[in-house]
Amino acid sequence: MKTLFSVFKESHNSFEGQEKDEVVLLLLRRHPFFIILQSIFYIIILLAPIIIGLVLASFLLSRGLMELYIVLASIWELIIWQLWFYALTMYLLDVWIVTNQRIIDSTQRGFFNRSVSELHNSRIQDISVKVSGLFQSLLKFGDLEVQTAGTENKFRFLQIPNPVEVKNVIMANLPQL
Amino acid sequence: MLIITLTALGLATLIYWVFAFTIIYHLVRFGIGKTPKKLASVFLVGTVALFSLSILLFSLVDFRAIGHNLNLFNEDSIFSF
Repeated sequence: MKTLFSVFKESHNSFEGQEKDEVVLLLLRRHPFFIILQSIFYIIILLAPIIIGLVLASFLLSRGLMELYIVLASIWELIIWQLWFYALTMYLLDVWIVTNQRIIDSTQRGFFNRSVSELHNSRIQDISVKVSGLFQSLLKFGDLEVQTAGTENKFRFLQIPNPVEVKNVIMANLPQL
Repeated sequence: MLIITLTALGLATLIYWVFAFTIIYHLVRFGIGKTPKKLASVFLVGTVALFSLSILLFSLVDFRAIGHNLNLFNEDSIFSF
């Protein structure tokens, strides 16, 4: 029982494939602004049947359809609840992990489509931060690009909070030459 | 008609719970940190509560009375069983 509830206690953000002496420095997700916007949308459409029911109450009651409407509304709530948590799941599973040894990008696109790529700190050549636009500047989120020595694609952190601090953490953990 | 309705409801229930299980599984198995686990528990409680409420409300509906109100149970109607 103690083990079962331990998942809700303080976590060291351990992940699958973590090395023995590897320490997680940062666990990053996209800025909460995006999931908050989506959540507001889902809450509005969750509440829509209630509002429509109140507006059409007299009509539904006169036709004896109120019970049926309530059942259909509850089915609607079930579906939207699922869709909302699907969006939350995709948000939570799309992470970047910065450790003292490497950077890991885990992208979840749908239930059965996941890609994980990693970049060891020793191969980092250049880091650039991009914060553009009113919302990005006000809410302090932006993109961070990590350039490697080879011809591989850049490693990108998209719409992460405080990208400058993230850059500083990565730079501080680069192997000293 | 009744068999078709019951089969459709059963299939919808199965799809619903498979989807719910998949969300919980992904959050617990692949989620890092405590937030995904907390969210999985909230989702499970909410899913069970909403599903139970829907079943209860469904059982309280008098479909025959609604059908008569809407004249669905005439002799020639496909809803007559």
